[in-house]
Amino acid sequence: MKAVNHQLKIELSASEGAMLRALGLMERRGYRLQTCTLHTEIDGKKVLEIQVESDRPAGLLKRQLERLHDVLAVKVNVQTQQAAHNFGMRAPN
Amino acid sequence: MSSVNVNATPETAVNVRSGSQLLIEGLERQGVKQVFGYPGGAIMPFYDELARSGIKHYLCRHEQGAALAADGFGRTTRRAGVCIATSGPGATNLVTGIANAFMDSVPMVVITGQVANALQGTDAFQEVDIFGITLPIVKHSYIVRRAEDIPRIVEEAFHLAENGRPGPVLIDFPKDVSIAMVNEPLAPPKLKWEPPQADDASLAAAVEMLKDARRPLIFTGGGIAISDSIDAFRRFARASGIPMVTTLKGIGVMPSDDPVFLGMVGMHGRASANHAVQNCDVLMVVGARFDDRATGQLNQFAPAARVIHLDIDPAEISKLRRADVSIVGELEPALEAMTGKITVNRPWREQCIQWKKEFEWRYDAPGDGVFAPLLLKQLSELGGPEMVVTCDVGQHQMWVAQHCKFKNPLKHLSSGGLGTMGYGLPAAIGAKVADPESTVVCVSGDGSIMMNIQELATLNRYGLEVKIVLLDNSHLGLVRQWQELFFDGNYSEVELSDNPDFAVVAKAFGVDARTVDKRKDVQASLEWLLASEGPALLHVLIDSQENVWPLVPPGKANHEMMTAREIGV
Repeated sequence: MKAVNHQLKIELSASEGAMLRALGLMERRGYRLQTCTLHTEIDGKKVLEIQVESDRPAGLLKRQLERLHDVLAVKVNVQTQQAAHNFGMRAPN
Repeated sequence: MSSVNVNATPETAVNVRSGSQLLIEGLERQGVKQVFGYPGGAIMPFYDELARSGIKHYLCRHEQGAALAADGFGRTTRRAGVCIATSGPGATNLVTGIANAFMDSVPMVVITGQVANALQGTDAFQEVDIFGITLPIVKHSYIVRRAEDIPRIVEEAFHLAENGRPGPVLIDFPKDVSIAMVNEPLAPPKLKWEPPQADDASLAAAVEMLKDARRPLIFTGGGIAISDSIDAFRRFARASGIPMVTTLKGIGVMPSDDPVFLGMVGMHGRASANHAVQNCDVLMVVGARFDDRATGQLNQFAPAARVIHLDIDPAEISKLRRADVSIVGELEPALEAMTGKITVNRPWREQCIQWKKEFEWRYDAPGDGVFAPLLLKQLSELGGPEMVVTCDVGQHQMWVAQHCKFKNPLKHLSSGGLGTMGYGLPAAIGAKVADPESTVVCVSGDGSIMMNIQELATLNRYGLEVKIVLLDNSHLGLVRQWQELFFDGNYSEVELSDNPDFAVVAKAFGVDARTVDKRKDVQASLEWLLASEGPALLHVLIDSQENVWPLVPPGKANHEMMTAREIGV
């Protein structure tokens, strides 16, 4: 499957480790980090804007991120093109 | 996380307490009566308070044993099992147990000592970044920076561990916080879980798809028992008459004698189940996640089927197999809403009944040696459906799944996702502590038992009546089987003929033991084991060449099973 770029905006709570947890999840779930900016809002909330490259769909990453306790919201900003879902992504062993 | 704080009223502090006291109070507020752990330097102030509390601590003899015992406790009670270790090696030794709970969605709260805040990041003695190490294998985690936060953190940790899709939550507890004195801790929030509910349109679409189906099949997973939806599931399944197959963790959602409960799918699944999956036209997946050991070659799994997927975790929907209809929410109300609206097509049901009859297990192995599948069938009949069976990982684990009968998946404790050798004995400790009246049997192998054999000392220390059936083929049997079949018989590091005499080992730990090697003696030996007082071990010598059948080879579809008959053994 062809790898495409996904852009996501992730709102994180101010809790310790929130950014590491979100970034670690992306790489572990098969999304390669291309760009990343972080800023902190007045209330301590952090906003992470990222671009990742993957042959897996953005929606799957969004749902994985949303189940993290310190992720407050995830928005898929732009999809350069619709990713085809790569079924059978894991090699059997 | 859909949680709301419904009570933000501050609590009036009555006296000054230490961080350790606050943590103990937090556990007591959660109703924790038993914990599993191992003390050490950084966690000593907590253990000092623990000794003064009403909480019973079970000293396991390795932190991994403590974590896996907490897993067994959590699976059995559906409440978070608690394990405790010190910083550094104590914490890293918990990692396998935490990962095990994460992979199998087991509620657990993990407390680790940590070096004082001022020492963190200086490579202090027994300092390790356990928060960082465990990030990918916890549902959530905390480093406690201020003692006044402890009541909130404990409340949240249990709330997260136990609600929604359960999982492990880590609380890393620095030593300076554990001894800090607090005047007015912040009041714990009262958290209320608001589970997601399936939407009506999806439920209606699922009902329509099942009505249209000619060959519908239900694929059950561990989520049904975890969410306490067994009764609702049975009502739905029986009213519809739809045939069922299961994952390893779903075994027991329906009694195995139900005519259309076709058994476990996958690599060592039952032929009836694998044939049904390959032929169905609608697959309704309930609390399962398309694990590769269940699906075989994924793009050939249920190739003709449209998929309805029910799960509490939206991240499981279309992760590996696209769902045509997704129902995200609590299983029980979703199943209730669908009950009585579907009736299965009779010829398909008859076909499934036929497959089940055609592929019954056979127990007429030649020779007079112990035949493990028959022994496990005898054990299951002797112990009855209320018996709790924990297993390790390997051939014996698959034989338990195939030949023991369960009426509740929570009585079959098996390391499904992580496949942790060494799980069985500590899990049995956790299950026995959780329910002292139950009969708890640990079925293990000669490879697996050595991974946590030190926990025999825990059985003896607390007089825990865990019964161990140790199936000894002097090999890492499942690896040996694969080397035989797929690596041209090039046996690499699987031979264990220099094993210790396990009966002698058990006796040295104060656990009574016997050895059996003849089929005719099995029944009496099992009767001795179950009737014996205190912990006991039955050492069973079995044929080292015995294999687990059927077997779906790697890269093959589930209907392409190898059987004993085909390869002429």
